Amino acid sequence: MKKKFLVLCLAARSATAQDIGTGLMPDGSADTYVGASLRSSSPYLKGDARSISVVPVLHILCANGIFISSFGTAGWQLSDTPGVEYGPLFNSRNERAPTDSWQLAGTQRIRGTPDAGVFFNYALGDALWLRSGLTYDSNARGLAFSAGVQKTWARIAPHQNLTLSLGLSAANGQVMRQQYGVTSGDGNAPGPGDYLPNGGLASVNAGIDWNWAFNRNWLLNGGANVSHLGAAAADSPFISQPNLIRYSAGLAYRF
Amino acid sequence: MRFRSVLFCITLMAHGLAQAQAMVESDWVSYRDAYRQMIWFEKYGKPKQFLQSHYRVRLRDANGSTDGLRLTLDSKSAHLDLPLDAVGRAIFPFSKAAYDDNVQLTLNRKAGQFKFEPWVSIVSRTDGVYDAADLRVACEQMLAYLRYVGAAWVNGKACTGVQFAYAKNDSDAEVRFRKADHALQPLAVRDGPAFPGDAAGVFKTIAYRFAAFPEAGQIVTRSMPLAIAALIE
Repeated sequence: MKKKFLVLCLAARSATAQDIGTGLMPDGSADTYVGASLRSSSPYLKGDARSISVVPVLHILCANGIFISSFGTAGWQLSDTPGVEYGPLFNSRNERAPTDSWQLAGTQRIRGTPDAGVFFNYALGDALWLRSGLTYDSNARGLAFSAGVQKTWARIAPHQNLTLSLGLSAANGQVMRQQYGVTSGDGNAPGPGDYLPNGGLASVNAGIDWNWAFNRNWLLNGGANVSHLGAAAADSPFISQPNLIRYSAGLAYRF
Repeated sequence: MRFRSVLFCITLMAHGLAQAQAMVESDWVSYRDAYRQMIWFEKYGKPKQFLQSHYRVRLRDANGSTDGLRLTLDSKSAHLDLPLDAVGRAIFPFSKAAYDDNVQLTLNRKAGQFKFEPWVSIVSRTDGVYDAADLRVACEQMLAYLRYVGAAWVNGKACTGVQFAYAKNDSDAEVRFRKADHALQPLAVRDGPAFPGDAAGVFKTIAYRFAAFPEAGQIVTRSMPLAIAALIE
């Protein structure tokens, strides 16, 4: 399967690192991480095997608050108040066609038009953050929402930190039907084998992320993420299983 | 299987790097990370005239020595010494060039012994005479700043005083309260850490507790203290 699906986008994202307030770095400077990560993911489509892939790691944070992170997320952090982050957010989308694989027959075509939204993060103290995002799905013409908490232990050992996150994502009917729906025939006339979910909970997620900085340049990262799909998503005829588990290990260089 | 073997390789590599690091008895922190912590005080727009900001290294526990402690700013080409005062504070050099070069701050101690922190304290006066009202404002400024940066430990706490710290062998360590009628009352001297919450360091400390004295008056010191801490309890 060539494409990664929306489940990754809907999953709790920690795209925005802590301390990304505007004006926290010299004008014109940027903080950039580039690397690669090995990732093992549960099968998404029924009948597929567990997949292993190498994915690029990219995280750029600019002095003016603009940030870019892997998997096509970009945003602009506009707050200059400590403990509050907000701004616009853009997510690129992978295309998906019913003809991409046999499991996807009868699904809606997803065009790769980017989604736009806003994010709002609030520090509850002691490196515990409340995170949220509301996205307009420009392709399904619907709304998706995600929220969660994230806690970082800055020093579990010298130069190592650990982050735990818990979150959920929800979407309205248009987004859920485009993502998980199946219609028989040409899609115009409803049939008995149709699956047309309503809006609601898309998934609940838990993640653990570990970082180890060897020196000012090199950083090792490991993580695991479990997504439990909401009923409307998990009941989709082409979804393999309700629990999706992803492991990753990566190395990045800080420029 | 492939995933596991690559993971194993990475672990081996990490192990090797960690060993190489352990052989060098030094600890480091990214200048960029330090800069992003230190810049908050510079950007802070509320009153702060009684406060000063430093970068501080302090012992995590009482076992450890600060003798010969040296903090340097290291790039590929240059080493800049950042002199530490008696309580481990250094003046932080803000530099775009250092930020862009992704340099590091190095401490000549084994990793994990010291904490690296932005540190705000109350400014000492050269004439040694402090208005009691000014010290109350100084403590309030500190509390307001700590709340601003989201220090969770100050939640529900209030300013109760300030504390002057002197070297353990300083015979001039004397602080007195001068009442409105000019009568002088010496404040008690105790041995302890320079700042509340420090795990190590023995200094002569003299606490001026607001509640124990009239509101109007002056604090008169015989010599310049090494540091003045806010007491937030």
